[in-house]
Amino acid sequence: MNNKYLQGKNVYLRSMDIEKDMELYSKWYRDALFDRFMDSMPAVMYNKDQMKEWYEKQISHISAFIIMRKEDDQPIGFIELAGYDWHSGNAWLGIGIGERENWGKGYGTEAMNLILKLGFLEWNLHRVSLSVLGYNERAIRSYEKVGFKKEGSLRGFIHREGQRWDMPMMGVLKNEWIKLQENK
Amino acid sequence: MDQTNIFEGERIRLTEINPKEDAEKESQWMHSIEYARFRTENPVRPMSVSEVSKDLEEKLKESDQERSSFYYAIRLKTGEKDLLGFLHIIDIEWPNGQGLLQVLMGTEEINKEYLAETLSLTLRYAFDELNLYHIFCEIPSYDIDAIKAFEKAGFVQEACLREMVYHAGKYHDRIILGIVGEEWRHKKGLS
Repeated sequence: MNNKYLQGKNVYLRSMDIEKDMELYSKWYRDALFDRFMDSMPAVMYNKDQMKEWYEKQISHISAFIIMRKEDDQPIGFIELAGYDWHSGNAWLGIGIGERENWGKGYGTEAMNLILKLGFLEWNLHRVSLSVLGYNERAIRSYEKVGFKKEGSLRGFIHREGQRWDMPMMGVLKNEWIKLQENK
Repeated sequence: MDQTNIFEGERIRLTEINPKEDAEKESQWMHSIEYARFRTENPVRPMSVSEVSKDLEEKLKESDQERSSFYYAIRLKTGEKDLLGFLHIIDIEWPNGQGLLQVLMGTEEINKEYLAETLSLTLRYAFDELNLYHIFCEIPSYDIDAIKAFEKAGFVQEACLREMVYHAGKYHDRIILGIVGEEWRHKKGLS
């Protein structure tokens, strides 16, 4: 469990193990807000076997990591790049921090910089994209911190609690991200 | 209720896809890189007749199982054999009333002649029959004619994903155009 290949100040990433980590996901999804901040589809719960079955179908299109907190080596969330378009050099980013007590502490921001380092400097991606639920303002601020720019919004994409929210689309280009690292 | 056949326009109609028969023509079309771009990924390339046929069969099977995507053929009314292209409404999120629209016309000439009529059939189907709230499509920024045709049908540009499409040795933006059902009704003077 000491695969600290992608190290940050407070977190590191380790590979997601489909045989061992699904229980973590099931636990995180028990808080509906975790799902409602991440997915435009209705919040649902799956046991670890169902989770595993879902991931097995996707695994060739997803590179998933568990976000580990350094101080106590505890898993606190997941982060992944998926939906690669290799010839155009694009991938989609997904991230979730499990427990509410770990939200707003900068762990996600740090984890994103780690996975962008992998995507841009090793995989030679040209850009990384994401979509976010319009009401998830904390996530948007965090994406902006690592260099994502808002590129527009799908209007009224999400229907929840009898209301419509937009779905902002965001992207960061390799050269933009590298410039941000140099200025740090 | 409207008693006309919503699958039929003035000159064209939407029909089911018959993979074995339709694959021949689509495989030919795919030898244009522009057509192939909308049809294949990683990397863009033409597919043989048997590959296309198998792929169409898989799409129809997925559509039957998941009920979140629809694949139709666009044909001339004058002849069943006269395939013009394909219409995909995919990634449908029923709780949100969202769908991604792909219109694949066989050639540039067909596109020029029949895209507007296809879009008008498509919008009626998406909003009056599927009861979607909003549909959107993705078009590379260099395809200015298509962007204009979608705008004329009532779509508006909602996002510009920078340098998302690699084509002819350069990066190009991907434009997302969308339309809300209410806007379409208003435009048609129905509301």
